[in-house]
Amino acid sequence: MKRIHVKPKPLPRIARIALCVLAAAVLLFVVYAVSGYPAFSPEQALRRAERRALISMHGEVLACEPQMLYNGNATRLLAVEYGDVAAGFYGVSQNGPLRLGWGAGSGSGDSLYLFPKSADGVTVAACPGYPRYMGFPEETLVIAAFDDVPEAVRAELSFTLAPSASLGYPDAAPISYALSAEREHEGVFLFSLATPEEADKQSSANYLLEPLAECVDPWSAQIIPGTFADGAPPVATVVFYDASGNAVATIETAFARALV
Amino acid sequence: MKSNRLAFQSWCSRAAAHIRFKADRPDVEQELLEHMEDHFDALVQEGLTAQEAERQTLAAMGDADETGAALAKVHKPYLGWLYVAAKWLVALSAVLLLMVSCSTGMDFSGYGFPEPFQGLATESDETYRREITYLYPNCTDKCNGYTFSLPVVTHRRGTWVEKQENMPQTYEAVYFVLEAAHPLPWAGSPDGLRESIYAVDSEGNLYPSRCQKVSHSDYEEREVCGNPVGRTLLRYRFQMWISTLDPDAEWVELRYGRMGCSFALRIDLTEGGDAA
Repeated sequence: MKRIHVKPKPLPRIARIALCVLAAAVLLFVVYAVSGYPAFSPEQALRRAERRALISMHGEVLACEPQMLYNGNATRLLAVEYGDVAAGFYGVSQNGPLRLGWGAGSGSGDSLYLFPKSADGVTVAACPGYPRYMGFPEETLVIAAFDDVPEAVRAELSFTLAPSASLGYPDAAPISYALSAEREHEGVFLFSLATPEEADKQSSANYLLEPLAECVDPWSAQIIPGTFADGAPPVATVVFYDASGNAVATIETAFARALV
Repeated sequence: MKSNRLAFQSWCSRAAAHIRFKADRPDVEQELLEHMEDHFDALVQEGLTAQEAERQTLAAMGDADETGAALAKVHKPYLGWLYVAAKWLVALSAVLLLMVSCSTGMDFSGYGFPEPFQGLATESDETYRREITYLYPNCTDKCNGYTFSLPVVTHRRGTWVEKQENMPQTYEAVYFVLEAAHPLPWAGSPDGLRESIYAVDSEGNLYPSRCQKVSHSDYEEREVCGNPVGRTLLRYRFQMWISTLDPDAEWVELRYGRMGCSFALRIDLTEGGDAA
């Protein structure tokens, strides 16, 4: 009796390869989704933050500075400019799987602070830091001056913090600061202000530095009227110097407030 | 029979040894063996002895090395290795998914939409009378790739009598669910709207967002405010309110406009809705 072999025809090898590749692609996309769709660079994370902030403009990254480690992840603080309309700070951490992605979790934990550009020619803003307010209390407060003085290679920033009488500090005298910065990034000078030592933490000077950064946070701006004298952010004076040391511009402008 | 099989297997192994992709050899050997056994069976049925059938079967198959060389030409090794690599890729992807799932904790707590307006009082009593109307405005607008809509709105009016002055008082507010949909699952929640969304009504009154109020040092009670309440893969919802609504307002329009992105959604308050 003749045997009859009924064998199902196997898929061609090329089809099996294609199926495997397809399965791997689906699995890798699920990995990407479960990881919180991390961006592949801080700049790409910024584009997503802009979309979530509901602004149609794309900012130009003027500076990208590493910040303190946050939960073991690398962080970056970006100074961003939106033409003559606005400027901003964007903080993001490298929190994707295997630390390969930025701003995972649909941007959870990242921070975008926007403020309108000043008509005075320079926009001065104190940065809340990244992670928010953790970057500077024990180290430095970064103050940015977005400028339109390309020939300037050095800038000096001075301002006076005058606490509101309602704060009730016994040492509530105005405190003046003078900072200097070299040109490291086109379009922006970044000034570093060392915050007071531990012993001075309770002084009004320290109490005022944090609100200075909160000026660009839309959800914290209500503290400004009761914090600074005159109920408004302090005024800064920025003097720009060219390569020969000559002052090329002197501009007075108030610290920026959040764009809402 | 056993000797036939050994002879056939030896021939098949020798032929299959020419195939460079080793993983293919057992299948080819099996295929050849079945073919030879079929041929052998057919010859035995024709009346040949087992020895003669074996000899003729082997003769019909020809030289094992020549057949093996021909088989090697057909079975290219690179497709085999590619298949092995593809299988490894699937396995590694599955392991990676497991690792990432464990490390992220697979938190789905924010997924799904809760019943809207939970926690808002609905009953009236002797001192406070509530009138609640549910509206379903058919309005949508687009901004930055998001499509905004208002799935459900509730217009609430409270009336009571001030004891000292014996004067009737009213308070009106609009609570609404604002939904944003985006075709990309990684778009994220458009939280920027909470900072800058405001409203105007038919009487020309402005209801600023809470952020706009503090920025303008405006401490009036009129405002638009709210919080995110849930999401699905492509949709995000906020439960928000417009407080201290002008009782004469016939409509109120939510507006957003910032840095090249704008949208507007109008709520017609005179539209007959469902009374609660």
